[in-house]
Amino acid sequence: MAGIATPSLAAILAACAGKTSTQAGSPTPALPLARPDNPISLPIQDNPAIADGLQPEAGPLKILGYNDYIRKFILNKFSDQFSTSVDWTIFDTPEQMVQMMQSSGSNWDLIVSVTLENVGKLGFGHLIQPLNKSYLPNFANVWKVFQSPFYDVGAQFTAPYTVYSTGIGWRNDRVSEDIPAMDNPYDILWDPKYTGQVHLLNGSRDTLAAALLRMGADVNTSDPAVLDQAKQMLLDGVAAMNWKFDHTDYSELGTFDVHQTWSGQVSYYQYYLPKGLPITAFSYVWPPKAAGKKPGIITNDVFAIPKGAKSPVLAHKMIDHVLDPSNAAVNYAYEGFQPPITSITPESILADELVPKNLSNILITEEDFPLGVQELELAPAVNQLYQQIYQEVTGGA
Amino acid sequence: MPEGAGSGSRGAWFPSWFWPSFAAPATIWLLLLFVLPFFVILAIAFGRVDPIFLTPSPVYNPLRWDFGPFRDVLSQIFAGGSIYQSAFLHTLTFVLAATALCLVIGYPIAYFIARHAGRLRTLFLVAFIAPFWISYMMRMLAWINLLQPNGYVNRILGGLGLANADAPIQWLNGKPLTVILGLAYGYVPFMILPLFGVLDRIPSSTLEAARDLGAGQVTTFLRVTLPLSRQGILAGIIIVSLPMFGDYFTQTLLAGTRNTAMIGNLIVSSIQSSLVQTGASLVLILLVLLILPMLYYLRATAKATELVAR
Repeated sequence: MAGIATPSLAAILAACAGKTSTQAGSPTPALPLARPDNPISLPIQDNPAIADGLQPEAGPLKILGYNDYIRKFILNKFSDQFSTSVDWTIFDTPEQMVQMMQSSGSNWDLIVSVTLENVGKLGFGHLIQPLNKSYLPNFANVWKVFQSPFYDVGAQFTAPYTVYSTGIGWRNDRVSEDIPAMDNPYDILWDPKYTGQVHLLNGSRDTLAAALLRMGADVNTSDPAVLDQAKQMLLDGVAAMNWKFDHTDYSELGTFDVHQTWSGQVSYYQYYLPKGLPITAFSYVWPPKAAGKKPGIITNDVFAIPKGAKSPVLAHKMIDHVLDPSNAAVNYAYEGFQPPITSITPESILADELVPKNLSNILITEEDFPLGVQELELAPAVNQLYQQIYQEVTGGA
Repeated sequence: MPEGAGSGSRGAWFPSWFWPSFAAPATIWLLLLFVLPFFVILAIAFGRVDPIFLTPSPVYNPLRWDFGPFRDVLSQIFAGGSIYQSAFLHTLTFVLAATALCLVIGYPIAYFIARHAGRLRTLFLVAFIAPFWISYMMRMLAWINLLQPNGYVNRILGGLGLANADAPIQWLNGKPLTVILGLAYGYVPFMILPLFGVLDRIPSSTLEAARDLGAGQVTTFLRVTLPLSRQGILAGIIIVSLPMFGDYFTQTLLAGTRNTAMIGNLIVSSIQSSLVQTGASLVLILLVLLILPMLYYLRATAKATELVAR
């Protein structure tokens, strides 16, 4: 039930220094917000990691995840190897995942995956358990930046799954502008020449980020004036551009010319373009690497194991299975979202022809991370404001 | 058979609770799957929100309910230009237009099958309904293919000289007309079936009597068939429009823009975000609005039954 986790979380957070006030005037503990210049260690109190050397449970391994976010082949291979089965429960949005975790998190053994803006509340809310790295020999394969990330110092609770940037994609056979050469590539999303032809990602963070990045503002801002300006910019855009909002834009490549999109999706655009159109007709730019050097999002999704999971050893084994370089490569060939594994480099991906050469700029290296920004945890009241603005802008579409 | 056994009246061998017990499954069903969930919606709409997770904390004691958030949503519906008001207006417009379209399409089909299809009536009925055995989602996805810029609809219109091949009609880019057509297509069989049922039951002798009294075909239709099929029309309108009011999927697939957002879209997006309390409030407001046409239908049906009984 929703109320159960709150008192314990409130008690934990009350120990933290900062406090905010609710509308009713009663003090509400502040959620520590991880930032690159303010790394956070998630607390381990009544939820220690599992002991070393345990045998995998019989299963089934119950996964709470985005639809189809691990290749079926990889899941089947795991099932065969551990003589178990995998049950997959889908969530559509990160907020939905948090709701499901809070109401019945122990029903699942593994979350695939958690976005960075939710790691803190799951950790401080004691909804996830620490990882026991002795079950994760392949953790050594992940990029150094994720061995001890700022949002989970020591990677005590999380292991990285995928990395991706959020940029602009376009049909270069229908869009004449040289978008990478533009001073502000985000302007193309508001260009009336493409009214009815522009697609934006749906989600309170990504949609608002389109405006915040265009303004050159912080994508994690809590400044009401900046947010109001972003809202107005989005409402003007909605009125003038009639944007389409969704995150399955790969199915609409024949209909929309300009896309705010994730690099991970672009790699499978080649399979969804209108018949007869070569993939060279599609281009992608990540603004920090364009001429104007505007800010852009680069981020990663992480695995986490719910507190009270019935098959935690199997869950560890699955994380390790996916982080295995050969499995990660096979998984990537289908999923399109790049694994942060040291042996899987842009060169190896291009050599294996997993990504078309004209879209090599969707590939990410560890060195790209300092160039970009991440959508990070917000104070609850600010988070609610983001969601209200998002709903006002999209109308729930 | 003992006297009164079939009616459950006094003197039957059944105990007094026998016949009322037949209502038990439906009563339990309603309690578990309507009354209880409805109370949970009330508890969420008038409850609290977790200050950190922003998830709903239902309050089950009505004495502790907080009506503030509900009032906020309600006031925004009446605030000019708010998204809530726009969504309600879009929904009302789309549902009225799509229901009218269903009636215009469904009535002639039902009339034809009931009165003129002869021995082939079952075949025609099945033929008209058969496409709807395919899932709603699949049919909407099929429309996406048909309505794409280079899809068959534009090609046919281009062939007829009604569309320019170089500037094809962008049906899927947030056009209200596309949503209305999608809704009408999705729900039209639910209009045909009740109309067919009513039209099929109009005795031929009644129509012949009208003709014998000098009425022409048009007059017979307007003075006899149409009034006698009123209950079918009302039932069809209710059956078709109620689910349309809560529909969100059609808009999402065929438009997906703010300019076509329906109230169902707002409810779904609220529930999938941290605005669950807003979603619960919208559900309650929609429910109250839908009770009005339902009450009208029940009153009209009761009056019609009364007339028949006289």
